[in-house]
Amino acid sequence: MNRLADGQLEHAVLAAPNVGEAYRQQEIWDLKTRLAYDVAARIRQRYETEIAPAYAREHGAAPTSRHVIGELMAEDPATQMWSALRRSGQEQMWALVADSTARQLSRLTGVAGSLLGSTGSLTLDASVQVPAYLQTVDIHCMPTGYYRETGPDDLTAGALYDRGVYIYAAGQLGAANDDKGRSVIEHYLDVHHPGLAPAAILDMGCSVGHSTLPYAERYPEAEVHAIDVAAPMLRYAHARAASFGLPVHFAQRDAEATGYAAGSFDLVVSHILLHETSTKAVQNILTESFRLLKPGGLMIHAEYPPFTTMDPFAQFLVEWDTTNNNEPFWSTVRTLDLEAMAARAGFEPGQVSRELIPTGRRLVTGQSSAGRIGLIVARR
Amino acid sequence: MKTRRGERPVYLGDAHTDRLLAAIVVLGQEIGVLQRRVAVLEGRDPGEDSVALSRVVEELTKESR
Repeated sequence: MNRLADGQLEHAVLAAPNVGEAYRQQEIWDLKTRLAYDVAARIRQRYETEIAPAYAREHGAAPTSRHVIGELMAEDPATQMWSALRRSGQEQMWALVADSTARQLSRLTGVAGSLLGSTGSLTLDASVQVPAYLQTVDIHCMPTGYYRETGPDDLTAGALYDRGVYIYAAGQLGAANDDKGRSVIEHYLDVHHPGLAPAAILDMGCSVGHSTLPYAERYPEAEVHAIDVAAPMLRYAHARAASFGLPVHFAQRDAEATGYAAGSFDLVVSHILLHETSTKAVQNILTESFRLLKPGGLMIHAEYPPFTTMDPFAQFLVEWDTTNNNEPFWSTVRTLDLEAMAARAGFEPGQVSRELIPTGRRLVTGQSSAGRIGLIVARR
Repeated sequence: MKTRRGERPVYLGDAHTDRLLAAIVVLGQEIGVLQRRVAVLEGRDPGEDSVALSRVVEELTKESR
């Protein structure tokens, strides 16, 4: 497989940019990177040297709450400008990718259609309801939202997501955007369960299958299933997986109530799914994971780290996405007691743990720290 | 900053100013694209002197320094 000039791995349904589109996308990549790291670091410095000391002089101590920091920074002109530029950069990134996708849509749809039946499978179910939490906002400011279709056999949302996320994360998710799946396998499963040989794997909320494919590669003997509620994501996911020659069974199902028979899987996973849902949905997903696992089976849900692993200013910066990048559950998920919720789902408390593993994606914290991702792990 | 659920927040006092900023970013981006194209025509690395948008950002975020 070839790579684009910016490193993304090409495949049959990637909305690869032409020269002009690539230059524009690179400009936005540079803008977003500069804002996320260089300017964010300067804002942190400004907070630590000016704003926090001024607050401490008045109140006796620096703020310890991200909410208080948020109120202070909302009045700061540099933070206002940073936020305005970040939001604008995000919107323009999607607009550029949308233009490039629209130019190629007919070809991409044709390619996806030609790959049906080649390897793996695609099962869509129009009766699946898109949960309210995905309908409330256009997640990540994606112009299609996460799930909307513009016509029959549409895969626009998937094409947007694949190319957009690569630019959005400035390549930190790897050439195939598969860093989350690879991180779970390399830094958790291969370390703590090196002899694992699952016969059946389920990836919940798979979107375009970025994190699913590493499981198909790592466990070639396993039957790999991946579900999502969004048909355009799944159409794209199947074509993408088929393009890589990896047999994955994609199906339109809701992770809260999948419809699979109890005890169908040895390994149930998800990757940054939980923050796109709700507290009630997270509980339902954990309960469904328990139901789906065979005795001795393993559940792993990967999600960005809880607030308790960050200092208050990092919490404030991370929280930015909640209201400014249409991620309504982004902050709340970071406060959930997932171990207690897993126990309520049926897992024995002694079989539940939380882990923090390395990952390529770095959250915006104003610090030069390495990327980490949290896991809620439980064995049935 | 106004941040109502699902609606576009306002950052710089009013939506018109935010749109003006977005237009400035687009202009900086397009100048950057032209710089890349010129660099190619001159046989140089297209990323070599694509500095327009960076300079715009530096100017706009001076207060953070």
